[in-house]
Amino acid sequence: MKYVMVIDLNQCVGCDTCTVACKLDNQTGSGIQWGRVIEEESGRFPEVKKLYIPILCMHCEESECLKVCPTKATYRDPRGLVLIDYDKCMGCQYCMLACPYMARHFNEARTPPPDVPAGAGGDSRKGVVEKCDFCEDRLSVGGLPRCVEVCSYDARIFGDRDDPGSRVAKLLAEEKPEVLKPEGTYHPSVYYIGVK
Amino acid sequence: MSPRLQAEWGARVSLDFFFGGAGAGLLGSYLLIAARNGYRGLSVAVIATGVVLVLLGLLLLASELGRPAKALRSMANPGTSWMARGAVFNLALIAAALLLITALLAGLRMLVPAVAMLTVLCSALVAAYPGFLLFGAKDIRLWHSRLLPGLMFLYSLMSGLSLLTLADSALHLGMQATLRPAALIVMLPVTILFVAFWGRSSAAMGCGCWEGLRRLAGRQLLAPFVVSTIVVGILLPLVCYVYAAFSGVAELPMLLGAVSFLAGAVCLRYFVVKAASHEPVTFLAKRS
Amino acid sequence: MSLYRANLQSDRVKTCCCICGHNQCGLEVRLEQGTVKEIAGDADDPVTQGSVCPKALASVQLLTHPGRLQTPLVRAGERGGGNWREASWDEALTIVAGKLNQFKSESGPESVVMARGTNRGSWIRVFNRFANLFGTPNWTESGGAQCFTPRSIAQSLTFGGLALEWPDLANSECILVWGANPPATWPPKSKKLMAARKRGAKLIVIDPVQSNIAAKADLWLPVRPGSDAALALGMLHVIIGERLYDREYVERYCVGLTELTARVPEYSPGKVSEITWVEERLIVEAARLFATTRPACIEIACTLDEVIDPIQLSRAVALLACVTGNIDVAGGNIFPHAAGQVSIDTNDFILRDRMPVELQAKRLGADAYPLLSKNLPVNFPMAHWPAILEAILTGKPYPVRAIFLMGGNPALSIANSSRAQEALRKVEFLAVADLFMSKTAEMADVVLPASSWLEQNGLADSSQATYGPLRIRRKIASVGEAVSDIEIMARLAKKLKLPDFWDSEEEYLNYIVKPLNVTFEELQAGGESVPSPMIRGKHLQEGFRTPSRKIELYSRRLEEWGYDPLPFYREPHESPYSTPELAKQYPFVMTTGRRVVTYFHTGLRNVPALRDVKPVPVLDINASTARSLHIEDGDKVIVESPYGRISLVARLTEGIHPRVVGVPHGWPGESNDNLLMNNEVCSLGIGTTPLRGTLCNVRRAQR
Repeated sequence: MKYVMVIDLNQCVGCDTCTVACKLDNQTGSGIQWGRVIEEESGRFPEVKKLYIPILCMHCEESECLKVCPTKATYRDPRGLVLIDYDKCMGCQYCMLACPYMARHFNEARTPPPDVPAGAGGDSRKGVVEKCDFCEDRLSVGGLPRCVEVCSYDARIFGDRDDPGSRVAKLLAEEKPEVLKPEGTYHPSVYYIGVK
Repeated sequence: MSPRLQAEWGARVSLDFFFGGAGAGLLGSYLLIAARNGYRGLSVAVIATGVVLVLLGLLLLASELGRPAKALRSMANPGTSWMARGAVFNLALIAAALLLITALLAGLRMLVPAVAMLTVLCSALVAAYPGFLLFGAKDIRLWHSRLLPGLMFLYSLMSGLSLLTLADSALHLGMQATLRPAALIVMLPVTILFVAFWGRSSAAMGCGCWEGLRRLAGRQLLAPFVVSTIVVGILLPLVCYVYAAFSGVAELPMLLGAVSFLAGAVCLRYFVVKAASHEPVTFLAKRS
Repeated sequence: MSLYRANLQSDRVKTCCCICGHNQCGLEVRLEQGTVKEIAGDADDPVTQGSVCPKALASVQLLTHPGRLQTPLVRAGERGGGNWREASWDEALTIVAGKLNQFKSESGPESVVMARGTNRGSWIRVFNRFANLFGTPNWTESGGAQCFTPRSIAQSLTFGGLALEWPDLANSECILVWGANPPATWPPKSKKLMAARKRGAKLIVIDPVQSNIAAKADLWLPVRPGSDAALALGMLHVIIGERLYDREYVERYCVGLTELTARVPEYSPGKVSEITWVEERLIVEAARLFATTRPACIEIACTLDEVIDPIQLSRAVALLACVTGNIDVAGGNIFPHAAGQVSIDTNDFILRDRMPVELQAKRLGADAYPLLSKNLPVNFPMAHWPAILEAILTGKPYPVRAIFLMGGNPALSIANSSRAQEALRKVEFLAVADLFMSKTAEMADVVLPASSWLEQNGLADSSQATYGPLRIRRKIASVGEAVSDIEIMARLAKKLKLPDFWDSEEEYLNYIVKPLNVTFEELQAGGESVPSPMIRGKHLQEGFRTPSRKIELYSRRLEEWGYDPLPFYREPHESPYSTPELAKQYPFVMTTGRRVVTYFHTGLRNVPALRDVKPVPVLDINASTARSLHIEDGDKVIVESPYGRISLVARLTEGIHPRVVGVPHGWPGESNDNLLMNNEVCSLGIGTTPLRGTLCNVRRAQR
């Protein structure tokens, strides 16, 4: 069993609904978004190409973070997810330097703007590094990651790559998806189609 | 895409590298030189200073941790993690050096050569490991260079020699005869590696290293870098050591060279840490 | 916060959002352990099909926000001093009713202004009725002449209904999005649009900035802000000139082709290209694509209303759909309708004609802006905000002594904020109903706590959300003593002894659904929506609701009222061409009011999950232009107009013309775009304060 996500850049309009859904679900603190959407432009006005690219933890198969973690807080689970045992993390942030995908975040107390109340900020994770976990608690009960669920545009497809009947398996076979930073041989589990 | 400077490690980590490296370099170079005359007259003060410096480095690193209470777990993954290995090496070095001090104070002379060798071995590991640690961040091209471990090792060694020069002068250890040529000889590969490391093409270094330096502290950092690491940290010591080696006057130039190298070494580590940037996350940039 | 158990049969409850009131996305609200845990789109909703936006999701934070008003408050101390005492509803409403009646008897009902914010659901029409029953001719809304009114008049005049609000996206082969950014503001339409595009429909987007939807377009026309009417007329030039229009349709269903044909020659693509700064070949290509791909539809938004000649612009855009045979056809633009319930979007419902004629004549703005303020067949007549401010500050033509305001924040949301705030501070009595202590509420005498959409029963029946089936809203929670706007009006109506109003929200809802032979409670128990088909072609068969019963390319009504019966283009009152001297000092053409998906007008910037994702107000500026001004991405910049200056954060992009900048809407304090606007030059006949297509300059703020 290997969970992967395929993101259709033809469909992503950068509405950030997934960003906010993830934030609410995981109670992340000020300045931390486990999943978000970056914007890329190429060309010059008025011939401008623009992409909205959702990024999140890529749950790499050759994960740098796992290699460099001194306490073994970061580990791989049998479903192919890269997870963090927050009780073991000492917050050295080495993994954040090793991660090529901006996927990891250090949970420190940050003050929001004056009229915004301070949220929970992931209180149980203060002082450690946190990240997307593909909503593994939802997966355990047969659900989908939150970002996949709330996307109105069918821009995220999630499933088990090893299941030949799954939509992701078909997309991986038929669509020639790309990954970010392929030259790094990190073998991320998040693929992108519609990059052209 | 503009470079994304790493924002996790800063002055405290770079000082940790400096103190750790300097302490290790001090212990290593002192014991290697002392070996040549059978470890006679070993100064506990020098060894203790080395231990204190390494400890100081570790404390600085611990203060950077989000949860220092968990720091003991940091040795759990020496199989793949240079930080775990570094923790092991640091503790081993401190243990070996303390053992050496104990042996000296207790008068157990037979143990001294073996423990001293062990301490030298550990100090070499501590001197080298920061370079490997940074090298491990594949996405940070400034750090992901095989030159970096060598550079950090040599800087540690040279820092150690500089500290030894100061100790030698303060405590009258009688090592000038060895230190004068040693300083100059080690300074040469330091310089070569410095030039090789910073002189890599920007393609090799990744998209933003100079840009990173430029952007830090409001676009003023390039000048301080040049002044502190190059002028004060390399050129001035070189001049001093050459002068010390080939003229009769040794004491002052050696001290000046040592102090200025140490200042430059602190700065070098700072800039290496702070100028580091990640490769951009992009689909379009490669294509255009 | 407590749950409203009566409605909660399970821990998954379906209702409709009402944050923006325009879309009312069907949602599933999930409860867990006695609280609202999370919200998701309802894929089974027959209209919105599961669309959802960040605002709906973050609404869970509205239920527990420490800033929520939980009891009525009465001012204790200086106005704006921030000292309040809690009061009961009875006491607070007694004060409000007492004051309103006092001013009514002393200075006439016209001295009381009833104002509200933008469309946030059905209550806006109930409010209109409330105002008419109280007897004041001076009700108004922050949008008003700047929003919805101009284009609804234009559409009513042209084809007797609001077809441009309803592109039949699911069946369309070519979608023209003009001045709208559906991914940020119209999630259900955006979802359908993207699905249509996926199956091969063409997409043309007209927007000065390369917005979310423009990034997906086959053709993006970066029109100079304020020059859109020229572009529409240029496209008509191509369509008519190259005989690409639907001849049979026009002959059968339209009047005025001859006159329109005579109007368009002066808008050749070459000339229009110079005016609009859009490449000529793009204009021609867009026109041809739209005309020859059938069926085609148009999606618009309030940008068309916020210019110096909004009715002409909306008319010109509407005519594109008319001459190409796309009105009232599948895949084109179709008409909204009620599902059998009492329709609230009528002048009958708001009891417009009860207002005596002498009072109508006193409506502030009636003389200068008859299209806005006089009773006409095609409008909901309202007072003119700049005239209200004038009346408060100068007492002319008569003093305005009180404002009763619901769900609006005119201190920030109307043009010329400095003047607006001055007037709000000066008016003798101000009562405000809101969820939070807004900038306007800070200056009030009485503040009434209103509830969020999660705390209200209701129907998704406002015209922009009615698209076939009628959907039902459920109250899920309550916060303190906050109640819905309709409930507030019901309680106040009782104090004011207004006839023909309802005693409670429940009574109102029962009234609305009575023609369906159910009570509201029965309706709620029965399901989530009342089925109703979408209707296409009814007007083609039975005639359009216009004087000629046809689509009026040439509007005789406009002619009778003394306006140009055909669309035309005129330079904005402030532009590089109309005021070249001013443009030397203020060289950028500015479009203000740009939307951000996490916010709705001036609201929601205090919601943690939303503010953290879009923390600062962003200026869209061309990358090369910015660098030539030593501005880098993320730098603080000052944008200055002849009327004021604000501070924003620069976003460098290639997706905007080098001489154009995009300014966001609804931020408070020193980032409020309405500080840059003046409210003295208003559109002919309708009184719009132009917000798009004015001048400014930009510089980097001091480090």
